Amino acid sequence: MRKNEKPLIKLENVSVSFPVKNDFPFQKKRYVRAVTDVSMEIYPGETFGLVGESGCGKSTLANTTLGIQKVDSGKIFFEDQELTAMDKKQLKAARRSMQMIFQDPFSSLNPRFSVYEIISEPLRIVGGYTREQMRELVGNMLQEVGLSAGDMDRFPSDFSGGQKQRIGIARALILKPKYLVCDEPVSALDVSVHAQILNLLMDLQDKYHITYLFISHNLAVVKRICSRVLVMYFGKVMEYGDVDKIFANPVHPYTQALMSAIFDTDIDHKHERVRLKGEVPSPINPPIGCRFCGRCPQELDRCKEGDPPLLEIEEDHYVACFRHGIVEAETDG
Amino acid sequence: MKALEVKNLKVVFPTEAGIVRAVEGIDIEIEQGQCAAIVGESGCGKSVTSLAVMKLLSTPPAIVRVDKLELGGVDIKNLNDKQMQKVRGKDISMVFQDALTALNPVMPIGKQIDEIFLAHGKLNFQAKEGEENKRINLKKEAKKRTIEALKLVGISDAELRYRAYPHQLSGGMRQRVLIAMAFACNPNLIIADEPTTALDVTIQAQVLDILKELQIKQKTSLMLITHDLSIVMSMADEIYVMYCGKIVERAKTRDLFVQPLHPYTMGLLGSIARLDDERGRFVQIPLSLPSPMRKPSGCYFHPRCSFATEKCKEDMPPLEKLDDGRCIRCWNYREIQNAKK
Repeated sequence: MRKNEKPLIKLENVSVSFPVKNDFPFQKKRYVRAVTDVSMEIYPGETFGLVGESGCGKSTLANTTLGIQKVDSGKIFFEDQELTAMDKKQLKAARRSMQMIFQDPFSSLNPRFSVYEIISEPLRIVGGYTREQMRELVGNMLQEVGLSAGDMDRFPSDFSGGQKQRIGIARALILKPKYLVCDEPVSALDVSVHAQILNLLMDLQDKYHITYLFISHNLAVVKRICSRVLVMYFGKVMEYGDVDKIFANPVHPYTQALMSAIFDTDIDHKHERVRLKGEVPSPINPPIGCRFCGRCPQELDRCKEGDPPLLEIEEDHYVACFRHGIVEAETDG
Repeated sequence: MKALEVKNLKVVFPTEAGIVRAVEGIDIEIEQGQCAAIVGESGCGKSVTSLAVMKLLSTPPAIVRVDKLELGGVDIKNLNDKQMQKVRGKDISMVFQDALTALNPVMPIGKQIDEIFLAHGKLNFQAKEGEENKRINLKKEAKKRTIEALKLVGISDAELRYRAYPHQLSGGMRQRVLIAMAFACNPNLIIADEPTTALDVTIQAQVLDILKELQIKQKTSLMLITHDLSIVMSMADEIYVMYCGKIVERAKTRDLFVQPLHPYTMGLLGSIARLDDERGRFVQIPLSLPSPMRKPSGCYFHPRCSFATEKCKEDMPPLEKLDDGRCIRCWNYREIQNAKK
């Protein structure tokens, strides 16, 4: 937690679960616990990284911050307003200042809409703009994202992947939101286009002071663009806090493994690899105790018994791992 | 001896909208026991190259021309489909990107691996009594070999997994099954086409470790096809960088990472995020890939290249061979290197 600063988004002990379709009738209802007891804060103007492997609840957590996903328990605040206590009408009003860009620009743009129709749709939903005003706004927005105003009447199929993602960004920014969720914005694109889109997002952030929630599985990208990060595994927070502190001193074995899974391109700079055993377990029957049990290279007997609490080990650096206290004790004694 | 030698491979797809020149005359040489990586973005022709080497492209529609196609010194250029079937799986095999579509969904994975042993008759078993017995025993032998192969790729409870269907396995597990299949008959050359793109990062690291370990242990040659330069470093001995159907740079892995010569390679390496980077903007390659039907004139990379000159706009540079065996397709690479110093 940062002192003297008010968070834009605040989550308090948020949990989300989904019912699983029964294999047999009259079976006891089972649930996938997608997000379990997550608390976090996102501060205005920052890029907040959300890291984890597929199925760990990243996207669900992002949806809860937008008020799209109902929560089982816990509270979500957006600038002092409690999203979880709002009715539909209030939510719609609050959502004006929150937007999202999606992973796959090929499926997130309607192929039968022209670029103008795609980008102006949020304006039409909000209402109160004339056609001329909308065309002007869309034209300006297209230039902001590196396309030209003349592209307005073309269709998504005329554009390459990177350009489509730019259209998606223009659509998200047309209402000048305060908060933008970027759900793996480059992983569907060609490698040579990644840098363009990431640079564009950073430029737009500087210009409009938007707060980003940046979902990614690539820790190297997160380190480069984010100021704070949350590492998730199986719906639980493993490590959370300031990017520089976490990368300088990754405490959780899962964070260490994720970092060593990024293949280094500096040929003389060999990191010691942390390799995980086993596979990602089934989300319906997560391991008892720490979620990371069974794959953790530094497992203790204790880990199988109870959930490690999330502890603040230094300012703005939280870790949920039993090993941390022990390592400290060893070095002290 | 070379595990693979390809000379002047060309693949063309005539379509209604125009002719797509997917691969425009490329040469590949892989020494026995080495790993060569072909790196490029989508549509650069890297997958088509691998399919052409396996002779798996259906002609028509594709038109394939090649001057020389030799596998371990044996010419396979003129083999027909039936003869190729005997080669595939035994001398050359392939690991595909998406294991779920590469495996038969209605057949246990064990049986699918058995098929390779049965088809290629690499079972050292002599029948003593009648024909019927021989077939049953062959199957038993195949099963034994399959379970060994599954254990080799790190699948626990191999006896149990033998009976599992593809959908019962996780993504990483399925990819291991594919690797087991590829290595089953201990082939000369394995082509791995984006073997880990569909996997999570920690699983990807596991699978690549297994692939590398098996390649070294069995002295197999590996042709790794990928768009991800960062996984190539720990895997490959030599790297071919492709752009729009042409090889733009060929170099030993170390040389390429230490001193990339082609502007495209520099751009690719510059745009990869590294762990020891400072926060800030990325080095970017402007514009996007040209359409394969409307490739630019001259050097295909010139509209995106910050070093382009008038000459680049008009003439395609040749693939120049340097003293140390390195190849580079660029008019200005010397000037660019000097400018960097």
